[in-house]
Amino acid sequence: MKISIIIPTHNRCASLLRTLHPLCADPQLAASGEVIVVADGCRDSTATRLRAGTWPWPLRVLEQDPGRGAAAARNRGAAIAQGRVLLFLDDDIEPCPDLVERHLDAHRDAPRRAVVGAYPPALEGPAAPVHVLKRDWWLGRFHEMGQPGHRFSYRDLLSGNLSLPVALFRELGGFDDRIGSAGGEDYEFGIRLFAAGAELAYEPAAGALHHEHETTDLVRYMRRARQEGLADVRIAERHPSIRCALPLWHRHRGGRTQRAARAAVWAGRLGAPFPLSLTPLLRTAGLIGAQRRWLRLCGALREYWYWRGVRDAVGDRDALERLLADSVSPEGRELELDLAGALEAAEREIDRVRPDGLRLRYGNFAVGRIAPAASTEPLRGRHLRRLLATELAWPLLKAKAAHEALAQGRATDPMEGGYGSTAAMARTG
Amino acid sequence: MMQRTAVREVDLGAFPAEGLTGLDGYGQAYIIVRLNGHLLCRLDMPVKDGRIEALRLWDMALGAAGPGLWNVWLQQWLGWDDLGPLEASQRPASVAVCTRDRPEDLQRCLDALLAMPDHGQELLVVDSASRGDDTRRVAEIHGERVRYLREERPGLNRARNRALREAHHEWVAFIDDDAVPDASWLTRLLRPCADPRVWCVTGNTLSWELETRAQQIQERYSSFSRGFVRRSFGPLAMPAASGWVGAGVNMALRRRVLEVLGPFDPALDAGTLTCSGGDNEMFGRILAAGYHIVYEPTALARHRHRRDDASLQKAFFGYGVGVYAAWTRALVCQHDWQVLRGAWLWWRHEQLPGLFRRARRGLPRRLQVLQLLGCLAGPWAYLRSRLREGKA
Repeated sequence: MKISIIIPTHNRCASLLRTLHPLCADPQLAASGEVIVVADGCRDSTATRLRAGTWPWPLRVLEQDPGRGAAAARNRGAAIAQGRVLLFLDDDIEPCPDLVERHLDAHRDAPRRAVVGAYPPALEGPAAPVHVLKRDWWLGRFHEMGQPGHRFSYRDLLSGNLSLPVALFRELGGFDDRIGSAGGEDYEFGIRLFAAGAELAYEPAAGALHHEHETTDLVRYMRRARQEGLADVRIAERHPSIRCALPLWHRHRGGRTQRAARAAVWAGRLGAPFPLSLTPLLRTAGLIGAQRRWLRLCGALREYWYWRGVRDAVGDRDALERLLADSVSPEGRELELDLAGALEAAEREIDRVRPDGLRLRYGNFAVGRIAPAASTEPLRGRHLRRLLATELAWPLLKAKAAHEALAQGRATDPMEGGYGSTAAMARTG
Repeated sequence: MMQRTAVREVDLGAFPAEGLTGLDGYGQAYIIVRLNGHLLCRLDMPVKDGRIEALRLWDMALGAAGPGLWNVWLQQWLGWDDLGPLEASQRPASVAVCTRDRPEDLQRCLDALLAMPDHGQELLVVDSASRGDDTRRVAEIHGERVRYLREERPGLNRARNRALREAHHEWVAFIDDDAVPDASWLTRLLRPCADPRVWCVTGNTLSWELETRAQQIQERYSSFSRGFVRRSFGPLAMPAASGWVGAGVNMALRRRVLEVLGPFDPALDAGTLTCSGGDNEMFGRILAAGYHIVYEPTALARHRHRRDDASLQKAFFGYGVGVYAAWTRALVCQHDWQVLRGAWLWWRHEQLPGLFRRARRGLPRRLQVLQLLGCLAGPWAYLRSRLREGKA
């Protein structure tokens, strides 16, 4: 059997049927696939309806007790899967035609690869501000992942439309179901994926639509922020090298509102007026269309609830400081490169070595360093130009200009060299 | 005192060693500065004895370009900028020119469009109820390369809607018939389109000529240009900021706007009682729906401003009418109360101080007053235009 589709579901029978319906028309799935639905504490007779239906592929329905969460559900489904490739779908995903085929194609030439398919929001047009914000986040995420030169990290592992070989899944030990009841377990899985030397890829053609607006509102948005705070602490406890990459690390950053939100959290009960007063203001701003005010208030409240989640996990600020105190800097192999030759040569060298960091110079002038980053794929040649254009533009500019001015035999600062030197540089580029 | 101004271009990568010559009869020059074809900035310089000296031009051009010059230089060497590789393949798009009774302008615009590199784009000419036959002849001369569409009822927005309905590609670029696009206009305009959050891109529109006082006043006080830095508006940008995102003379939209957000309002813009504002209103709607609009300063087109004072006065009056008509529509149809705030800010920070500024330093008083009168007439003009649309 080629592929097993695993769908955890929680009280969303109609949405689940919308997920299953397009799969009924997939010939590959019917020929050599199966679908496993894990009903996570469902009270809406999902299991009964599924078992009573007729399906063109083998369908197995598992039930688990309420409160176990999506991660445990996925693990249970994976444990009984018979396919060579596992495809995890959420129950609010509507697959596009040939989703299955695209996922299978993406695994053909790499045995240790996880593939994220696109699942942008289905909602189009004017919407409530919280839906607009979420839609913008999702579209931005997928756009970023599809950019040439994007460097994959653990934050790109999204479990709503994810496939990987079953051998890799079992080697990694599955999702960690103690991270939280919802959210965070996909990032934590991504950390272990990169630690094991596997790769992550994005396949925009393996597409689906995400009907997330049906289950999102302001309350759930804030609740999700709280769960993220809790999950981040759990992740930080398990993986010391990722701590400096988490939002937790930046506990002193931000403007007045962010600092006020954090102060309100650590003040305990005294800080309760913060969310109580801002929430009605937020709703009013949304009603009267004061977009910028809404954004600011939403940001402040989200910051508050994220740090409430952190406090739920650590208890007090001292415990947080102790947790973050013994962080480990990510380490890895750093490659020294001279960019004064052709950039293509530098790219080939990076592709050959696949370092975690770079120390760059242009001739005799230092440009800068790309430090190893936690749970991020080793560098490839195609990452170089983007890194230079975005992170090291100004130092590269100075180094290149200085090098070329010296090469032309001028000892003065080429920026002040006047007509001759700058004209020559402008022509050669 | 405004002198006759020459419009010239200069490329720092192919800098003329003798400076700019052949400027006899001009007192000023309006110079568009590029680096190896990439648009950098614009500057004004005085002309002496029909020329501008090379060294002086070089110094001023470098000063005006500022640090942006070095960023562009580096990006050209890397072949990469913020949006990705510079040489990414261009998607096919539809280009629409909406026109009415301006065959000479249309000819010039079409010649420039047809001279652009072919990336599979289609060209549409939407004839918005021209009175003569000349428009059709100008379009049909080019045979298969140009699709001619005729709209019997006047109205720029009606013509835009027709273009959106008839276009074959996902993105539709609009350019006014009295504007002339650059060779790389379409490529640059379509670069931000890969981002699914972006539903509109606006370009940079400079002046084609500045021979008369009316043209210079329009360029100085009511330019279509929004600067030389790329800006992205959204999500949840203030819809009343629609005036800052760009102008409809040079823009591209997703065709899906028609289905998802509705058509351009036929009661607005040129050809109706409201004179302008149709583009502003659509920009506001796109921003209100939470999508992004990107202002792409390197997507250059040059607009031939009205030559005579009477047309200029009509334009300023029409501008006031259009903005307030667009805001009235937003208030009435979308219940966007923020337009009241936008109107207050405009009055408080620009229109009111402008009335007290000395005449020489600001917009001529007559034009300010005409614009204000236009603003006052705007809401009623929209309602009348709407009623007229409803009856037809």
